[in-house]
Amino acid sequence: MLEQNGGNPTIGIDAAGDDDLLRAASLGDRGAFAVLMERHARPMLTLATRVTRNADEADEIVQDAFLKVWKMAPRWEPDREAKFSTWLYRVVLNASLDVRRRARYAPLEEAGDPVDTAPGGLDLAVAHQRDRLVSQALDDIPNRQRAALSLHYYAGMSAPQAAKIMELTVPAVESLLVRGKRALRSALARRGITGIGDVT
Amino acid sequence: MNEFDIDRLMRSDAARFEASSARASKVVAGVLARLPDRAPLRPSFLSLCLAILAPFTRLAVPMAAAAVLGVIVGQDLLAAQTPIRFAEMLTTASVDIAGL
Repeated sequence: MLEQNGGNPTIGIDAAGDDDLLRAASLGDRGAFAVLMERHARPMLTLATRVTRNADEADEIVQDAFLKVWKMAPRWEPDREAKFSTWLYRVVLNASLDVRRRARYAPLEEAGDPVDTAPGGLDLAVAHQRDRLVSQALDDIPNRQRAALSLHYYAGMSAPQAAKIMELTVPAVESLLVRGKRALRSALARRGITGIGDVT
Repeated sequence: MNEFDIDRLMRSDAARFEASSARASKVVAGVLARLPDRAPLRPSFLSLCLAILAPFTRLAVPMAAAAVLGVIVGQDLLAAQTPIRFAEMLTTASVDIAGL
């Protein structure tokens, strides 16, 4: 449907831009919408899981975000300044931080897909301990600093990229990152973590 | 703990929560199953009015320009022609009356 609807017929659906896929989705093209979701689902799930520490919550957040996309697709304005991915990151980050604020601490056993599939018992215990401490320390720092740190560490974004998502200037985000790291260090210190050796 | 330690700690913390492709596919399938049908778009009253008036709005500017131009030119013509017409009428009338 995407190719019949005015797109360049030499470009396959997988190579179509997000705006083209959204336009096709706005006409009810589920295939184009599936391609759009497959393109963005994994980084969104990773970000949501890292912020919420809960795989089920993260899945729900990402599903809700995509359902929102489906509903707003007919009203999407491709010429506007914000890219689709920027908007999606914003929605997923805010929803994840909201869930985190409500839950404060989710059981780490439910958190998703560790990279190391066969860690030793001690390693796993240390990793869980580190997760819990980092998570609790992040809960202690101001919201905007937490959002900046989440985008930087959990989505691997630079300050300019994070600035677009947070709708702030680059210096403002850089300042949030500096203050956030300082606040995180203090929060960890209050939990007895004064060196990297305490959690590795 | 210095900034480098914070970076190392946060990156190792983040690495544990990488979402797999299989999980992403599951989420995509879940969304597709929950997608509501796309209802036909109901245009708002304003957009309906604009759609009806669209052909006229396209012509509005040239029509207005033509009208203004017509008024200006018409006034000039009236001003230039009126004394002549009166003069002609008076001459004609005086000839008719006088029988000259």
